[in-house]
Amino acid sequence: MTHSLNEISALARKAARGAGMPWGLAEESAEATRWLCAHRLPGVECLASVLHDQDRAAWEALCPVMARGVWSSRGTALCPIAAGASLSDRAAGLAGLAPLTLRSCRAPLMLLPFACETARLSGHSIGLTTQQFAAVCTGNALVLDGTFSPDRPPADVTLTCPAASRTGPPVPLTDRAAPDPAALDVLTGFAARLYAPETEARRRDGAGASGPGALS
Amino acid sequence: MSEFCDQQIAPRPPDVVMRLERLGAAHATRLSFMRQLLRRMRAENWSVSCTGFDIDARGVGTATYTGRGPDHAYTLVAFAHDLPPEQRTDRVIATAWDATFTLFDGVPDADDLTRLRANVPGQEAGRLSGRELTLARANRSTRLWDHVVDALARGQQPDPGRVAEVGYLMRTTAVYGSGKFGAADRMLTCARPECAAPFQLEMLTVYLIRCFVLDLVEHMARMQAPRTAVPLAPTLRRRFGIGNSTGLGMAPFLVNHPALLHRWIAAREQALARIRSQPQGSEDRLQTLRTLVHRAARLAADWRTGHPLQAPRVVGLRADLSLLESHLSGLSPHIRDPWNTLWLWAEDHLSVEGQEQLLALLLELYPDFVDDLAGDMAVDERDSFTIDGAMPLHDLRAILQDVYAAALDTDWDACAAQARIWYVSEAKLEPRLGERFEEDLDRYEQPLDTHRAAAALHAALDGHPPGTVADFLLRHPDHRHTVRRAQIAAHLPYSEIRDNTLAADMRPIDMLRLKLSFFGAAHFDPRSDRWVRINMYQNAPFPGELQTDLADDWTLPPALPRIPA
Repeated sequence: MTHSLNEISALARKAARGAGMPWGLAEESAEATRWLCAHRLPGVECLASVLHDQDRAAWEALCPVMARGVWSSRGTALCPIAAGASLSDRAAGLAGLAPLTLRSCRAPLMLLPFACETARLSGHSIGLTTQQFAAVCTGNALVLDGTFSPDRPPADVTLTCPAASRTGPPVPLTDRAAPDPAALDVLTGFAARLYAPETEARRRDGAGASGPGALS
Repeated sequence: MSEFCDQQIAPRPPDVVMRLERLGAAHATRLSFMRQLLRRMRAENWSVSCTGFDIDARGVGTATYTGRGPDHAYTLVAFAHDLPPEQRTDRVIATAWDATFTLFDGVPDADDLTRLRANVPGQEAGRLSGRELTLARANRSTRLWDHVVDALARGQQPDPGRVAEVGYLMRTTAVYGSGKFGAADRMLTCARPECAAPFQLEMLTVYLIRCFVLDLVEHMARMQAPRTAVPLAPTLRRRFGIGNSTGLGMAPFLVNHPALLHRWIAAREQALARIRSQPQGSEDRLQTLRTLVHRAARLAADWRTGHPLQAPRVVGLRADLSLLESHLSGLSPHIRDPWNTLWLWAEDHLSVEGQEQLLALLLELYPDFVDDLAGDMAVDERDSFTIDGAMPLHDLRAILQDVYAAALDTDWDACAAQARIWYVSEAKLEPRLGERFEEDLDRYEQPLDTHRAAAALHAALDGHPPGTVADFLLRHPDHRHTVRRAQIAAHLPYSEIRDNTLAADMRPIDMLRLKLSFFGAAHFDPRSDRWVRINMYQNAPFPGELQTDLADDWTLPPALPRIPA
């Protein structure tokens, strides 16, 4: 069974919020997950792994602490959504800087959509290298080499802007996603935290539809 | 085009337009999505044919209707059911319906129909594929259905008064698109010209549902009495629209799609500004407007609602149209700036309902100045998603003070200011509105608190040193959602509703009506403060009638009563 990317995005947004992210970062999670799925990459699996590992974690433990050339976390690992959003928030100042190292980042694949958006905003390509893979991100294409297992331990990531040149075909796009059912279940479970339990009073009053059929 | 290049009158400001009271008085215009669809189908000479109709005497079976445009075909697959009356409810929490539908991309084969038969009748419980574009269901109006079947079976036409009273034989209770339940994403079709404008596939679905429902009611009469049954008389047939019952789920849409909301409103307001800027009118146009006002008065006369707030507004609209009629009878077409003069008069003399109705009528006078704006009503929301982290915080503060001025003046400690809470129920994920201080729902709250959130962001800026949005969000991630909204509103001024969506006196039906008016709906009949019934495609031409002269002039009833013999 395949899913529409809209379904993936909607579920990711709710799951991220259910796992404790602020709404604005839940929106970033949704867009990043959708983007990865559109690029045939395991977006759902990456987000499930991230949310599982940092369920209801405090922002202070996840957000990047920025020192010269190195972003790290106060907790066990960097959240790729927090780091990615911070990266695109700083797109204007990245070009030509010395390489930036993201220390111990969870699911580094999740940085790719942010890196591509940052490249679009800055007008400069961004290179992104981990032990698993190497990528060149531009505003409209992604070139990727390596392996992309979403359940690896956190890894250091090196960003360069502009990227060292790398040739290869851009990752092709798709309009459907076929995520691992177990990962989908993880997201569905987090999303369910947002749904208010049913009570008779809520059922009666919440939609304001007292006896709509009576006048049909 | 040169006439409006000299446009003198600016579009109405968002502080006027984006108030809930005015949004909740919106009327369908020629920019509405149903009007756009039928204009295109006429211009491109679409064919629509019933390609299958296998329905038994109990009303159970399958039918297919295929519409063909220049490059693509779309097929409505309809499943008719025998629904016990006690199961008939318009709520999202329903699990069975009189009819269920999907719009298929192309022409389905037998395997497709088998797959759809296993999934579409269950609606949210089933799964669609990338070949399906929408999912919908409808219930009969039991008031009218039995009367029409019985009359036709006896060889008689139904009572026009009863037809007018209800206006439809079935009402849809949901029409899902854009990738819901596995259907194709909008991105798959939005490059097709016929799908570029918003909600065209949903509007096509409902248009084909109307064809099916009228065929079905005639079919049921024939099954009941094959020797005596007659079809509906053509003029009476056109008076049947498709009802729609819309609940709270539509209200969050407007808040969750700010860039799209801006596009819709901006197109309409730009159209009005172009017409108000015309330095000269003509006797012909003035006469056209007089006729339109007369026809709008007929529509208002047929508008039935028992809602305690809407009913007096409809009475006021009737009075407005009467006043407008007499004002126009004495108006000279030769004055300078006739339409702006009329508009300024209307602002002083008509209710908000009357003003918004006049807007819709004025747009009919200059199709050439209006219809090109339809091409600006869609948007790729990803273009406005990314936050500008380099924005100085004093700029962000200025945006908040401009767009959310009322929010910054609100006493958020007062219970009435945040009495309501938007949430989603675990029961079929039904969107709901609760009473914040009577229920323990805070942990389930949806981010629809735009004004309260803007005030909170403004307060947080007070405690932050000068810097950029990027610096601020690193320390205050909770405000990221609202910073995004504010930045969108800074360059898309109609993107934000300029009222408090949590207030004790907020009425969700105002939001529903705005969206439904852009669909092209009429006869808004609120059934509470949070759900509304409407009529879609009433008086619209059927596919075989699209080429007639009146094909793009159907939203208002005809000028003269046409009662069948």
